Amino acid sequence: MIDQGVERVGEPLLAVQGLVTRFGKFRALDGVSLTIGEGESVGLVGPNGSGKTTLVNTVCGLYPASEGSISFAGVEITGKRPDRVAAAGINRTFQIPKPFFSLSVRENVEVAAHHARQPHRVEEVLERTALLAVANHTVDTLTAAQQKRLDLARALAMSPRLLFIDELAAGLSPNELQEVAVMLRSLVDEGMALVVVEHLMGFLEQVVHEVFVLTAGRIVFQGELRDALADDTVQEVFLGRTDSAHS
Amino acid sequence: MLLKFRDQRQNPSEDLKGQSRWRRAASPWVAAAIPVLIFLVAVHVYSNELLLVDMAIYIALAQGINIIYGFTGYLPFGYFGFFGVGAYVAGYGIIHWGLSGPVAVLVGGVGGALAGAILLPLFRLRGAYFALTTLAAGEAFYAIVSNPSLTSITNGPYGLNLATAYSSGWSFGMAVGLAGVAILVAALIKRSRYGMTLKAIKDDPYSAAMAGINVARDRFYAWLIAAAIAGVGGAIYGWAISVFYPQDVFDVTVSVFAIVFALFGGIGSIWGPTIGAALLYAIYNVVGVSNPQYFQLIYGLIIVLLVLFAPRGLAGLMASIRERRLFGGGAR
Repeated sequence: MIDQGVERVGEPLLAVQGLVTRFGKFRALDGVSLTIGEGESVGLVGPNGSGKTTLVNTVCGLYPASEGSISFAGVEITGKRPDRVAAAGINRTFQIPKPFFSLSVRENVEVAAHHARQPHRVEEVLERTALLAVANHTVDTLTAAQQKRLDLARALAMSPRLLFIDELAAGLSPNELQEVAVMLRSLVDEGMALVVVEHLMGFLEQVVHEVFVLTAGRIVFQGELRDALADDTVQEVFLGRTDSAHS
Repeated sequence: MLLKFRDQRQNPSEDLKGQSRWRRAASPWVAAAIPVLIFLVAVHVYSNELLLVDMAIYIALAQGINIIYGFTGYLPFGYFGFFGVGAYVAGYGIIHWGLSGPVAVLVGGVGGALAGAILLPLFRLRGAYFALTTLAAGEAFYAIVSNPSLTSITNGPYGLNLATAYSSGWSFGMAVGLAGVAILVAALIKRSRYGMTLKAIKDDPYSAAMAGINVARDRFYAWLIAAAIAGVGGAIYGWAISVFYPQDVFDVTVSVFAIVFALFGGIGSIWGPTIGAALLYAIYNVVGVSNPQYFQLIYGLIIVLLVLFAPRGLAGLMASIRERRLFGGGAR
């Protein structure tokens, strides 16, 4: 586990305040508040349907926020278009990879690097994500793990200050998991803030120092991962226990 | 075998790496110049100049469909609306502003683009909803233009008479020029960074946005270009036939032909829509005019065969044959 302080210094990089995202009458996010500091790596965990991806989608501008505010580096970004959010320095990967199938692997990264005005980063990002050898291939020839890395490569080409990693580990072999964990740790070491949405606690433990536990659109725990695993409320959320102190 | 195939099947643009830089740079111009030259020769050996004008306009319209549908994935059934608006704006310019034919044609293109700008909110919709709403918008343009209460402006259902501005040579030249320009624009877009951006938008608009692409703006530019091509096409058509009524230019057949020609040739390619439009429009004139019932049968057959055996059109069929020759028939 990375030894990083939990204390935050100065203004948070991302500040989410009372965020509500409604789909009709259903409140997928029900008053979420959290802050993430520069260079922090945090996990976002919770059972399926708890609102993890909805939170990522709302912060990234795919879903409109029904209530609440989102600010990034002190600038209000609530309701901004996804490309504006990306330009501000937030990016993401997708639970199900969404590469551009009409483009080659290199062109996928080039598109993002060009729009971020960083065309010189293409080779570096391809090398870092171990895609250089297949750079000129069409995307449909990539394995699922490579497509996930391409998602990551495209996000990295935008040089984000905050990166949401949405279930990148799912379906990867133990070796691939280890490689991805090393890569993510190196990003944090370079000062990038990470929010890792994940179910694999062993993987999370290698990458993040703190977790937010989300259930039914609300954050029910914030703290170190080992404390989360011992917390009664968290156990109730994941295991459905009813004999906890909170029941 | 599959692995071998995968290793070899790299980015299609890899094929181009063997070509010289000069050939790569020249190919959009060649794709535009060859049809133009064929038209310029054909007019001396084939007497029906108006048919050639129509064919050139349909090549341009098929390329317009290629730009908006082939590159962005938005299928505009109401494409004829821009065609009609272009014809009427140019006609109005000739009659009321005294514009010369060529200038009026360009103004018609601006009219088509403005009509496209008005319909921008339709991009909130996708798929069949977008396609059908553009169809409704095209019909709305028709309803407005043909409205008898607007006779003082549009001449209502009585159409326009541009006989005083008629010029056979100029209208033919502009039709051929439009075809050349439309092909060139589509080819240049396809191989530009903007073309790459449009492909990304077509694949996944949200993902494209997270790659920093201003999806609405870049798609809008493609839409405006396609609408302007239709506007110019309609203007030339109206000018070339001299006398027309609203139903002649606001005709859904224009959309159907342009879409079928582009699909038949191969959406997303450059030669495909050109060849598709030339071939099918020639068949239409050989069979369709004298025996419309056979023409519909032939078109129906072509569409069925297209869906079954060549869903990517002629261009896709040729690419598959080339791949099979290169990598062997059992690769897939």
